[in-house]
Amino acid sequence: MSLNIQHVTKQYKGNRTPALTDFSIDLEPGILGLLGPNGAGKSTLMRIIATITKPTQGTVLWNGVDICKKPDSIRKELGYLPQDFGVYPNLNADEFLMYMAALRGVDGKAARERIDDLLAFVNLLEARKRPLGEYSGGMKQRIGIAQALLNDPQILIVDEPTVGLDPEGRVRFRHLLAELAGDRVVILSTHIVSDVEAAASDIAILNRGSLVTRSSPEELLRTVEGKVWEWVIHSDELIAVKQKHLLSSVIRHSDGVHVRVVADERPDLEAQQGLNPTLEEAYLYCVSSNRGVGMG
Amino acid sequence: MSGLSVLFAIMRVGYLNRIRSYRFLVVLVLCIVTGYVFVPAPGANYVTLGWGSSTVFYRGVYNSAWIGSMVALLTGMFLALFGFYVVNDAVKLDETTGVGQVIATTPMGNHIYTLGNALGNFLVLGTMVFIVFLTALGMQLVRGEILSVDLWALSTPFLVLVLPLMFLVAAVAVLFETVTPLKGGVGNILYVFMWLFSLPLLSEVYDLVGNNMIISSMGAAGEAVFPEMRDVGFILGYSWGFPEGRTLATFTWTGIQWTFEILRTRLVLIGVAMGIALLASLRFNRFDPSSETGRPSVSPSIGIDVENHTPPATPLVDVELQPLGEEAVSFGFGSMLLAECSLMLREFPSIGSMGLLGAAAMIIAGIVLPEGLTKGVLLPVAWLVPVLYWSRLGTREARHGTKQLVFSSAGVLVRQFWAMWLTGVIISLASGGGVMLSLGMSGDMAGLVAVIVGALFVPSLALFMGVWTGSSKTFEFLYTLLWYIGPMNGVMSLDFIGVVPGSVEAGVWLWYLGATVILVGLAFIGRKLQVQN
Repeated sequence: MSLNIQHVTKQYKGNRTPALTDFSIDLEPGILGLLGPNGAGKSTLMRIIATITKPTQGTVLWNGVDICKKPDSIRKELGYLPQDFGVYPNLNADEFLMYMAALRGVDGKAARERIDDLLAFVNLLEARKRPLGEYSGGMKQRIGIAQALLNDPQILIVDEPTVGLDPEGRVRFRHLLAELAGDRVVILSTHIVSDVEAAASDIAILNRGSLVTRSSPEELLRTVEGKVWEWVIHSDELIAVKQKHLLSSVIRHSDGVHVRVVADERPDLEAQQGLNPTLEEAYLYCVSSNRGVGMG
Repeated sequence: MSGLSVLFAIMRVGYLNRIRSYRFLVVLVLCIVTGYVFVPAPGANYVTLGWGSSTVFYRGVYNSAWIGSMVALLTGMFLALFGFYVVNDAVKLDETTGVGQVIATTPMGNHIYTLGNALGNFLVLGTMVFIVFLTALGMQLVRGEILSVDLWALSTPFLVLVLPLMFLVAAVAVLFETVTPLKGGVGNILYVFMWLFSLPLLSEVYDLVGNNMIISSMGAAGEAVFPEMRDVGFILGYSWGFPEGRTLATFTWTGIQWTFEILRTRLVLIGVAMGIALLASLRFNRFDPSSETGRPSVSPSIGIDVENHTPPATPLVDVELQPLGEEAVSFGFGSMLLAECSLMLREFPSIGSMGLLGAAAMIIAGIVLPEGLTKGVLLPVAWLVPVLYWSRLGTREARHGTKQLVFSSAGVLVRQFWAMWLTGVIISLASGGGVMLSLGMSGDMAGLVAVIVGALFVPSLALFMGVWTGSSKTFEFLYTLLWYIGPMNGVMSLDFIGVVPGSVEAGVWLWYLGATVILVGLAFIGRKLQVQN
């Protein structure tokens, strides 16, 4: 099982800057966490893999088959949760999922059993007969998760899946992704670095339509080893520090403002090397400098 | 911010929202085409305004006054219908984008909102009228009968007659958007009937379009030169076919004197339009979904009080998702068709099982009623009742934002497209099934074939329009018009179900069979483009 994205560029009509530029990546079973600022091209990449849109250049191969030419080759094995999606407000959860199951090719008894399990998993058993039009944002998101898993997909693409979920739901979803990742490809895009940290075995950082780096979380953390600094400043100095350095944390205490900064050189005479660099700091460092693992 | 500034802001945004769209560009091109065909060439096979006998067709020479008034009258009549559908989405846009939720929290008064939107609508329609006016100016030069342009004579019919009428249409559009039962499909269909009946019914009381005064003035000028015109009927609107050997006789008409009385009557129209816009404010719910009957259509995450709707926290149940066996995934067509039918039945939860009962009643009535009643009354009615169901075909994904979910599924074109089309046909059969049985039992096989063709044609038309426009309203108003003019008024060429005497024998159904094939083909291409974007 493999997904090979080769030199993919996507240029939307009317936009001067491509949403993706010469993007290449090869994926095998496991979870790829996609990180990047707004407009980095994450959603475009996922739409291309989900066959919602075609690349302007380049190819995407699913198990060796070009999905632009034969989109059904991946669609038959795909589970997809877009960032923005709608539901049919007059249907209840059962009816909507039965409809989506029919679209995904799951029929009859198997569909009903799967829906029972999924509704239990997303904790919507009690609300299953209520029209989706009455669902809150979080409940709607849970229905989105359930529909993405209906056909037991070999490739699962989830865009900001934990938005609107309560902490318990988030943890449960992360565990599910980890379970699924054993023998299938999972692509997880999110702004929540802790979600990636908890679930992904592989991280790709995108910025301005290009791949900045791809590495394991451990390798990524190594990029900021010795580059995280902490010291205490007066609150008047905060603006100047913000302008001059890449600030990762600000905490106000009685003795002043404790700042944490990511920098190649010691930013201040009083600055001490910070303990335990976080993935968020590694991410900020990569995006701000457009530098990846092993790029110095 | 003063009320006037807010009014101006709402009007401006309503206007910009509409004109900065590809759709509006298409509308403007249609305005130019319309303005062109409103002024037929001397040798054209149709006429739009004049007096015609079998031997002579009388009209004014194409000077500024004649062209200005003729195009203005035709524009008023046509835009009073089509213009409504161009502008009847201002409030809906605020609702679907969620901007309405923000607007609702401002101190703006309801009357400012509805009046501002009516004015925004008016500017959109005014832009269209202006484009037609420019086309009329060009057409005077193109036709070249009188080359000197009198801007006053050319423009005043647009200013005095058309613009106030457009303001009325603009205000009615806002009213339809704020009165819950008139929102959406029901309003779209009802407006066609309003347009069809209000113009002739009101003409005795109030000259809505201004045709009475203009045509009587034109007629008087013509009769002064050709007294025999008195005995000849006048034509306003498209009249196809110019009999062989009929000659053209022209006279000069210098326009109408715009008296204070005329201006006063047009001011009354503006006043009525203002009143309608303000009346709409009384029904405007400020985007509160709880004031709607039925279920809310807005995103619940922004429109519903989550506290009241989120179920109490329940402990998570331990669930282990089992792998699906290969046999569970079959991509069968039957389950897809069943899912589409189920989705269609739930489009209108307030109708619910009453829809099925209605269909059963139609079938029984078709069998029980005498043939004349069945074919003449029941069949046309059966072909109007399901309009709102048909009009959903091909539009659901765009309307509910499910495109990404649906179009990333395998076999959308092979399974879902045909299941959707077949659902439309099933609705036709459910509604017209009784008549079909009746025709079959009476041995009228030709009539039965014509009805079956109609049952295939209507959902094909709906699917084609739904896929290409992404909206149900194009089908709703065009189909209602077609239904009224064709089967109901006996225009044979538009009789798509074979109820007009002689239409089956003339083989009209064959044309509709061909049209069905083309429409389904075009709908398929449209869906293919959507899926393979």
